[in-house]
Amino acid sequence: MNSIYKHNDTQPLENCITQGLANSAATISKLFGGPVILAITEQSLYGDYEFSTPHDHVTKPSHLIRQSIAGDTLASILLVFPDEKILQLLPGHIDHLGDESTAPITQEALMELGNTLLNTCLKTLIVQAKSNIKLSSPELEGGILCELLNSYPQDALFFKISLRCQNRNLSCDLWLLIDTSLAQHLKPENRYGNRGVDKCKVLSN
Amino acid sequence: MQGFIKLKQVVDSLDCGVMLLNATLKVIYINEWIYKRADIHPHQTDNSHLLEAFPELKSTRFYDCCVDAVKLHLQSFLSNSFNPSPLPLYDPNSVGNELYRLQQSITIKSRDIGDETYCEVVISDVTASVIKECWLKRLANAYREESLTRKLEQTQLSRIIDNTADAILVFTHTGAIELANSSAEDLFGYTREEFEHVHLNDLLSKDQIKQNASVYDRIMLYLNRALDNDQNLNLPPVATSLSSKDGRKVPVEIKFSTSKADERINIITVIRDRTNEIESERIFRESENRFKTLAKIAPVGIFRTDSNGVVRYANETWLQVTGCKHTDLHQLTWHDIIENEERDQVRQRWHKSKSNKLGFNEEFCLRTHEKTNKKTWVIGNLMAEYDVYKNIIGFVGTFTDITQQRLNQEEIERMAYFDALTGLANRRYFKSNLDRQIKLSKRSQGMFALMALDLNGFKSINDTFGHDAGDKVLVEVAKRLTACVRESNVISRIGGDEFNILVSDYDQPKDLIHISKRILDSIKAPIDVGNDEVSVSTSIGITIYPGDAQSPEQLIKNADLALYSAKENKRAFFEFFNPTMNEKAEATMLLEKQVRVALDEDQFEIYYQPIIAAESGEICRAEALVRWRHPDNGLLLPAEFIAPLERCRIIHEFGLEIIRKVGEFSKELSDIKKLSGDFRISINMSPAQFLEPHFTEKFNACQKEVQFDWRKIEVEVTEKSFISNAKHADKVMLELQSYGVSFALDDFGLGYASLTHLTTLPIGLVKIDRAFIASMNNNPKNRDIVLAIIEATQRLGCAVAAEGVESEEQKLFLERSGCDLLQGFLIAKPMPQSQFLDFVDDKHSTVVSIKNAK
Repeated sequence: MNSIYKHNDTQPLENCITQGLANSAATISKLFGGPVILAITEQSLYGDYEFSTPHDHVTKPSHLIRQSIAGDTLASILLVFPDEKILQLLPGHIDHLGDESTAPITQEALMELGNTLLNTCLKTLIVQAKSNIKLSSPELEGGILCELLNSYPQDALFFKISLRCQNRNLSCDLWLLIDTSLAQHLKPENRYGNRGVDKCKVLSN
Repeated sequence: MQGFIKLKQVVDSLDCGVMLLNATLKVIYINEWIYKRADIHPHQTDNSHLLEAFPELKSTRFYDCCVDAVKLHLQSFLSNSFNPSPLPLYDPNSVGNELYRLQQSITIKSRDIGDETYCEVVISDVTASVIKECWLKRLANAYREESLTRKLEQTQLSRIIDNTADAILVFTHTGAIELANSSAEDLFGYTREEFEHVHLNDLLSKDQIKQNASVYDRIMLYLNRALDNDQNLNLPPVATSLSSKDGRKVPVEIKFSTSKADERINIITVIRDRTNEIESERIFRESENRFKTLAKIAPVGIFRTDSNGVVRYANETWLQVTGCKHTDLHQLTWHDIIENEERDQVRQRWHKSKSNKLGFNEEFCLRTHEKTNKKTWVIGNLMAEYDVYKNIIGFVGTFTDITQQRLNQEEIERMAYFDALTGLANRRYFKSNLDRQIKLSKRSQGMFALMALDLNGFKSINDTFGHDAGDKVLVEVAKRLTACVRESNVISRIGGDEFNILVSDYDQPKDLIHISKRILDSIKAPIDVGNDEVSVSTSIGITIYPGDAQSPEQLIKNADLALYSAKENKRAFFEFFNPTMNEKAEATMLLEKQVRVALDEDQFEIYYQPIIAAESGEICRAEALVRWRHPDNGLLLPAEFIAPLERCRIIHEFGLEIIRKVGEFSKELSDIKKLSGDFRISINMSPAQFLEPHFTEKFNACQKEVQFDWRKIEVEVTEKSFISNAKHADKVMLELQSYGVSFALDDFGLGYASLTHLTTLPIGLVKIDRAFIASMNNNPKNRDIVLAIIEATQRLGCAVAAEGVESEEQKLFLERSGCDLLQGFLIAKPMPQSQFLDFVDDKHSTVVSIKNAK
């Protein structure tokens, strides 16, 4: 896979996300009312990942949270819930409703979870980038996972995260995909204050 | 402005809450929707900090997100799940005191308006959704529980079906097998998959269909009726046989039922394999037959009853033993056949053993047998039979006929306690009765008498007529004694010719006298012993409890003493015990002791009384007469100590000692020339000594020891010596005669006198009893008897001696009558050995030739 960005370019972004995830564990713990551990178990380019490991959730219904970033770059960041077990972590989730769509309350809980995690990661990015980055409200998307990810740039950074809720002894996997174009925000020359970037449009739902 | 007002109206009319905060989180605007639900007025919140307007929001995520929005332009979403009702908003339609807090879903965004950044908060009321969600959740939980329950039930049902011992096959309306459990697989040999291709007809083979046509028809009828939805069908279980996969015929019992679901009817069959049951029945029948066969030939009576004891089955032996008939079965209980006296008690004990769950094992007597008219003794054994619930369903038992054993036992007991000859109680039984009588009398403070009897002259009957005759005498005496006393009085034969009678029912001693006289009269009557008649008499000693003694030993002793006294006192045939008898007995015992000591200490002396020839006056004999120099009582004559010697059984020893001493003296005398060559010393022998079995050997041993001349010894015997055993007496006499001993017949004419003894026995000298000599002067007849004895004896070749010559007149008469020898005080008194020697010196002795000496 040819990436327009080299590893050195994405390293700061990786570091930023890593730190952001570390911070988000504390925030999510408050959500769940108990300790939550987030751990990055894999890290690569999304294109390299390409579902190379056999897992059948690729064709199963899944959910993801998308938040777009506006500013100098148009990019998006995805938090994917490939594992159905995430639903069991959500309070109010009603199981045993068959294959019907997830209840609205559950959807909202997913959205908040994803939004919280992403916001925490993005906080770190915003602080470090010191650039004029605007974020959209989180959007929840559901469907077959491979279809959902179909159009996502191949050179996005891929993080596989293990989320473990200690007091309920439940764990599941999350995927975080970040468009590598966001890496430019972390270049010193592009940081806020240095380029005099115009205020970007606020993206609205 | 109007545009702003219109915008405000629009925003106020929205169906959600809108809040606008500035960069410092002061409230710029809150719409009507929020005010209504928060029950606040705009003037309360305008330009107030968010936390002033809503203090609850401090340290909440809502507040943090607002801060993130204005500072970092982060857009946040707060769901109700993680943030239930952060703002104090209530349902405006809630009535009274019940205020329903709104469930909220909140979006927080940053808005840049101009150079300023604002925070926009949109709040949605998701209460209805939440309620719906809760309801759905409850439904889902209920569904999950029901699902779990159903799953559990299904699992349990499957397990029950699979684990039941019976095979279960469920047929569809087409006869195909829809369900088969594990037992069906085991029974028929098909797997479940194979069952899918099996029809009921396959299980019922063609042969079976032919054989079990009616069964098959019934099954098909049922199937058809079930398929026709006949609700009233009720087919009882069907017994038939089905084919397994390997062609084996399996005897089964089939139960049918139906199930219906969605218009589809299934036939459910529960099939029980009867192979074991049939096998068990076969084994049971065989066992039953075996039992019946064994019962038929068993030597004990076997029977079976129901739980009430009514006999339902009995083998032939039982019927024989009990005397019952087949028709009696099912009518009488097993205890009805027990004799009346024991029946109730046996029945009670049996009932008791039932409740204790113990077996019943007892000995009892049956009622008198109809055919034999005899009683039967049995040992009855019963054991309860139980069903699976441990209830008694009946009893099985045996009767073992022990009549013969019982009779044998009674015989043995009788023999142990009764005299075999007379049937009277024996010594052991007498002792037991005596002890019992003492206890009874002690308790009732009564009295009883013990009579001791023995027969006078019984020994001579035995010796004369034989033991058979003696036995007949004893038997007759026993009968007569029994007739003389009441049945309550116990007569015992103690031994030999001794009897005891316990008389407990008398009022005064004179009653005992009547009884004694009756006995005496009865006994003395002649007794037929076959070819002869004999007579015996009896002596009776009587003692009374508690007057004379209280212990059994003393009573027996007293009775014996009284008996002894009665025997000694020849004029009395019965005597009552008195305490002096004890003294007498003690004196006798003392004497016996002293006699023994006397023998040991050589206190006996031998005196010699010279016997002279009537014609020449020479000393031709000397009779050895024993004296006892008693340390206290002086010189005692034989009459005072011979009986004790005999009682002590030292008479033989005593006799040998006398022989020894006499033999020694005879040796001494043989050197004296003044005595004739035929001089001899005569020794008196009692019948006891004479009849002692080894008498001659001992006499011989004595002679060898002392080395006296046999010919110098003459033995004086009385006729008593050979009355009891003439044969033995003859043998002894001939044996001693062969050594050279001569014999004299002492006390002739006194009591039993027989001249035949002079012809049959080696008697050389006859000594006329002193009683005749003493009474010659006064009684002419006695004089004639003396003359007759002298003549008869001399004719038979014997010499004659007269004893007790005490006067010249007697001496003269005897000399003139031809008497050969004279003895008596007139001639000389008995004197000690040393005096005899002096006497010999004073008198010349002349040997008198005994005419026709043998």
